[in-house]
Amino acid sequence: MIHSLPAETVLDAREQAERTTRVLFVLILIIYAVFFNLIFAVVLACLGKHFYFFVVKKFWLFNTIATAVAFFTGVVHFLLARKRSLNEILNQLGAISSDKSDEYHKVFINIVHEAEAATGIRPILPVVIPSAGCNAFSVEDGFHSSAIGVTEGTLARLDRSELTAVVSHEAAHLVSGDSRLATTVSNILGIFDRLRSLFTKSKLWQVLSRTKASVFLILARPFLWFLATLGRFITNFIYMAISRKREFLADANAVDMCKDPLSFAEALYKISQRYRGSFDVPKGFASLFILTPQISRLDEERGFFANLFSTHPPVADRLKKLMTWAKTDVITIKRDLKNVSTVGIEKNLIETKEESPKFFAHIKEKWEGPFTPLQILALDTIKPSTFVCSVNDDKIVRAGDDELLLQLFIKRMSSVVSQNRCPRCNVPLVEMPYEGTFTLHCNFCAGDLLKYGVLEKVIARKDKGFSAGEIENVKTWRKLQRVNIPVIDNFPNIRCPICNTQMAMVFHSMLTGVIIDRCLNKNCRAVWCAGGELEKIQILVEEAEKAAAVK
Amino acid sequence: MMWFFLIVLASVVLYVVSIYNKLIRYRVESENSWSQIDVQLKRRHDLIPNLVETVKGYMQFEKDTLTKVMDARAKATGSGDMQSRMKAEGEISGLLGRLMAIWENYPDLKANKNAMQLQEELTTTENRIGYTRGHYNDVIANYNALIEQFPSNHVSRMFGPFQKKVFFEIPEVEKEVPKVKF
Repeated sequence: MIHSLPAETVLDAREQAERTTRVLFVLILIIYAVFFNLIFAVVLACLGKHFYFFVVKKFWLFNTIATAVAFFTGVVHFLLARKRSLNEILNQLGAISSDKSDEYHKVFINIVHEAEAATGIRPILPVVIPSAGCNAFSVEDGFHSSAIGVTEGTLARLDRSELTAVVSHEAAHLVSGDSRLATTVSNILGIFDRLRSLFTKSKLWQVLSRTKASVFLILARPFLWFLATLGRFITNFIYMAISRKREFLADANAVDMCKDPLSFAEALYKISQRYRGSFDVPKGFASLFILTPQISRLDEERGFFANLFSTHPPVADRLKKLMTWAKTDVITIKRDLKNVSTVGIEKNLIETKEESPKFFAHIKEKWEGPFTPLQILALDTIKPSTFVCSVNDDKIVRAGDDELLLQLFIKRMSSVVSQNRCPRCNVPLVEMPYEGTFTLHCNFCAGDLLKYGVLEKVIARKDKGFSAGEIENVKTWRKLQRVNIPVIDNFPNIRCPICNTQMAMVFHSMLTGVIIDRCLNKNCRAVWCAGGELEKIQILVEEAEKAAAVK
Repeated sequence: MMWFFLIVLASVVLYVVSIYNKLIRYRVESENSWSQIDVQLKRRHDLIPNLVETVKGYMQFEKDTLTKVMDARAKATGSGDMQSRMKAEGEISGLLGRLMAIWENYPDLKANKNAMQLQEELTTTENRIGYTRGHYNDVIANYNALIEQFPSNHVSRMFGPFQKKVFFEIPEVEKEVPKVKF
């Protein structure tokens, strides 16, 4: 979809943002040099009258030396700071690699590869934060390794063109070198922080107070601390201004890349209406998210104080520019978003559970069952040579001779049946596609084992529909949980089928009140949902979201 | 005075070297960009037989289009020079675009998981071709401008050959809008 551009074009917006950013960055460097010179001058002057005269009479020589020291300190600090690798940053954000077997992730991976083609930056690692919130970010370390990340909530709520626009925005940050800029500026702020802590460390000043030569230095200590604080404050203020300009620049670059301002406006609108996710953001990296993760009232305010503390411009201002380029308005966007479809997946209403044929099986000299075909798939004691008898007729055949069962045995051979066993029934779990991903399902107790991150995916995605009866049942169950003492499952604590670590019974959340089992191993963090618990969580979260949307 | 001339001479030499290096960088980047387009085009060639095999059972009335897609693919893989190859690739893009547009008329196809995955793969391949083409044209634009602008045009003539490159242009066939019949 291409629209003709009005007076303020994407190229104009880009050039203006670039110019302003360059000016502001030079200003930061000047501020840093000036304050470093001032602090250095005060320290030297306090050390003795010879140094005082050196500063006053040989001002330009002093200035050159001080600026060189400032530059050298900055470079050393920067080289040490840039050692933090991409993996360390991603670990801190809780981001994990995308899963190619997940249908939503596959589309996201493809879109990131498209961004590689558009920007020439190769490779860009696609990562996902397993959070139901909506946000996106890009990051680059000191060794030119890049990553673009989104949350599960973003993947579930945006369609392909909207996700492309969001990824284009993040790719634009990488092209503009914003991550490196953020590292450089946070490096300068770090130097001011170190100076401040130097001027407040009481032990150092106790030692200095014993020497006669530094009486003036001790007296000047509050002033030095003030200079360092003021320098930090002004640098931070200018960086906030740069950060906001960079967001406009990234928006303009994104529109230039994807040629679809309407989809970007819709994506930004959707993300701004949603919970943005609460995850640990490393210092200086909040500006690299498409919207501030730590939302505050000041984000949407304008004026001096709002500008002082906000890394992102108000969403309303960004949307206004995008809607001008797309020649649309908020009312049209709201109306169009009612017909939203998610990334590449058709919404399927829950299939009515047909009665699958059941079989008795001759195991260890006796007839057992009846079992459904899926249960037979899980029972490794039943083989193609086992005699079976359908419930519907008295014909006894070998399992391998039944067409339906033969297909299941072939499925078993292709490793749909996992190595992990149900912690309650001790039968092999079966890999089942669910909401665009996979769960490990027990066909006997209907429990589900979810690997780390899968529960958040399932909650965020709404491919599966639930009938009115099911929703009503779950709501009734929830009401009873509040009124009566909850029925406690007396099954002993189970062990994780993946890593055999003890699992703990925890509430999923106060909203749902569903008790699930979580693996205590930090490297595993798998979740076990007993039969029906996963559907309860989904229904309760969806109903809560619907209720919030109505308000 | 001597020092002044030496400084001026050194500056001129450095400037000429920087222009030459820039020309080399742009030339290498344009070759790299073209190879990236090539990678995506080959990816599309590999997907086409799979696509035709999957959809031919469903799209009974599009046999003509499917045959044309296979023929265009054979032409593209067999072409020698860039012009005829671009023309063949343009034909493929046009025909695939037409197929994607009429995909909605076949609900059975949309229920086929393999077909939907193929559609996603083709969509992403077409997008990647578009982006790499855009990137290639941007690089070519910068390269051609540098060859023609003053004073870099003198440097390019002195240390050539730096030939202007052709943009990856869309042939007329692809520009035809697919007709969607209901």
